[in-house]
Amino acid sequence: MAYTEPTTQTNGTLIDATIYNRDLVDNISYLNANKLAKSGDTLTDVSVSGVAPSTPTAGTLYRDSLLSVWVSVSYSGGTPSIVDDYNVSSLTDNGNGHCQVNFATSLNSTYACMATLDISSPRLIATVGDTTAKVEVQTFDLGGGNADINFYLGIVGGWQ
Amino acid sequence: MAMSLMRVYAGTPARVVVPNPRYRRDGESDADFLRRIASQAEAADPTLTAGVNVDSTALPPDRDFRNAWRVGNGAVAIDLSAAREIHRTHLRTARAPKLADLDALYMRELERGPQGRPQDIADQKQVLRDLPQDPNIESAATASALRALWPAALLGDTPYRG
Repeated sequence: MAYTEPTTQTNGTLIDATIYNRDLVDNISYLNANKLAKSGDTLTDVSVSGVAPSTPTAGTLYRDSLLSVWVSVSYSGGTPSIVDDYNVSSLTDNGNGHCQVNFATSLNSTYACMATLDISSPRLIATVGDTTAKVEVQTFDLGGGNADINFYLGIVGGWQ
Repeated sequence: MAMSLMRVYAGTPARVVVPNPRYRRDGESDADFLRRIASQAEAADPTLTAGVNVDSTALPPDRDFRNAWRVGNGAVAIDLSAAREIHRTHLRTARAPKLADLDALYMRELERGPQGRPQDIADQKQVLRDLPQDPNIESAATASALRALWPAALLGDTPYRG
């Protein structure tokens, strides 16, 4: 049975269970324009805005699950240096074993810090003074005194 | 080219903002870049005030006496009085386990009775106790001179890297 496309259509309305050729063409054009990914595609500058529900779905990417800061800091000369990073605009060297990491883009106030040391023998590390714009990292020898020790810092859950 | 301009702030010790060169904008000068990044650091920590720009080559090249860095006349220098205290603290830290070992040896010599030589051990302990009072520490005029005073024969490896 042949159908005739009505002259006036309502968006989202399926008429007589028929999808007209023109709709198919429009939809394909839309998909191409928005570059929906298929397996093997490389995505760049993807924005994730979804907030995780109280029971997250396994394997789903949420804004809360993204790293918001990471940095590798090395002490080799007179001042500490950034080996590599994400979202760190500068370091404030406050003295031996006391380094403040300043964020390029501010975070919310409820993030979680993880820090560890690049050393093979037992030492201590602590994060203190965290705000939306910076966190202070203190590294210690076993006697409790501040000591310059290369460290790594990661922050999750910081995006507003 | 590596960023060499940094901003220092007076304090005990002096504080230094080290900008991340990856955040330099195209065509931005060293001074403009530092101004923008340091402003952000100052906003993050309002205790950073009245900073002074310095070239990194004007800073001490090592951190042996980092907690003795002080800002004066627009530059950073090592306060030798504070550096001497750092040196003395290193001496006290390094001698502590050796004094503990000598305490045990001293008791052992006492237990040996008339054949024991506790005074020899006591003399060794006194040498360690006297280390922070070495007059050469007070007369050392540079950081290098202080470093050179480390008594490796008594305390082992130097804590200094410079």
